[in-house]
Amino acid sequence: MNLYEWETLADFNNWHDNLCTLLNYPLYPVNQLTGETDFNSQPTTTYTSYWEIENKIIAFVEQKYADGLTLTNLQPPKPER
Amino acid sequence: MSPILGIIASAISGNLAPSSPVAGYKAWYDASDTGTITVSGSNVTQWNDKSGNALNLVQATSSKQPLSGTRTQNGKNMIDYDGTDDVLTSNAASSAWKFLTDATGSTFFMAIYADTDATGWQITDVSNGSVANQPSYTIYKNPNDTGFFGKGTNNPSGYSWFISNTTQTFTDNAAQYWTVVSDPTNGTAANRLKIYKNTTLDSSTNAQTGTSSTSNPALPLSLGGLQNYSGDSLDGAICEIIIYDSILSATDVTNNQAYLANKWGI
Repeated sequence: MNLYEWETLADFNNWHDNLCTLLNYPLYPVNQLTGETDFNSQPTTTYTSYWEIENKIIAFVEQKYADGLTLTNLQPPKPER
Repeated sequence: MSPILGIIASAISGNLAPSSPVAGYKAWYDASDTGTITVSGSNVTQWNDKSGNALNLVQATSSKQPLSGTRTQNGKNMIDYDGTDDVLTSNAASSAWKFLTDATGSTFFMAIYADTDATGWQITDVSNGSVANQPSYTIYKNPNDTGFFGKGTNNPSGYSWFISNTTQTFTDNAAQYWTVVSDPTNGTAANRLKIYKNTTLDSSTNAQTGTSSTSNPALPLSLGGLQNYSGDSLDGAICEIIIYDSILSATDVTNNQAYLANKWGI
């Protein structure tokens, strides 16, 4: 995965909503042992999450979904230790 | 072989490792029990707690989901984290995890496989790191592979109690188990944290005499990474994690270590 940037949150949300539709979210998982769909378990509802850094929106995206996106050198925040 | 014959054979061979953890656990995550894991493809969406307390771990965001069914240790399934942003978070309220950060004692066991990693990673998180002076329970691998263990109120000068650099180090490309015994009210400040790598008690001791936090953590427990940050996800895999809201005796610590060592071939 690489980090990409968007100019506005609206731009990101538009791209992300389209991708989630393409991926048929929400995806209900299966129990790994039985292979049966578990509708009571956590579904996958979103593809990625974002950070707002220096007035830009950044997010991790797999290369296979990154056509047309702009790579960024901005980094997500890290906690102080 | 029948169970009875198995027990006799184990006794004769001297292999008396317990077949289950010491009772009384608050949360228990066992990657070898794939019936407790739900996946989309290989992506883990939920990892259920085996303690009976329903402190299940979830992840709804695809890019943050670790993998299951892709790696084994001693023939058993592990949960594989990407070292970037993977994290699983408890679906319980943060108050369910207050015992990790307040004056309650706790005992934390983790069997993991550490990949080669020149940076750091964090395996527990209950805090929103953008806010100072909040309850924290941090188990972190420093970039130099020593361990950092901090508990209590996180503030700019440190934690209520912490060990900043263990003498022993996380071993790259190897399975290992670590134990963190937290005893905040111990009369000897140095003994308020005890860290074991496998069965060896680390010689580093608690370095701080702060006061315990009393409020709920900002966030419920996450395992394998940070909830609001990135880049510090575990670079490796989790075999099993067992958490107690009590201070286990030395005998019980030894029994759980033997259980993990035997089960995961460490």
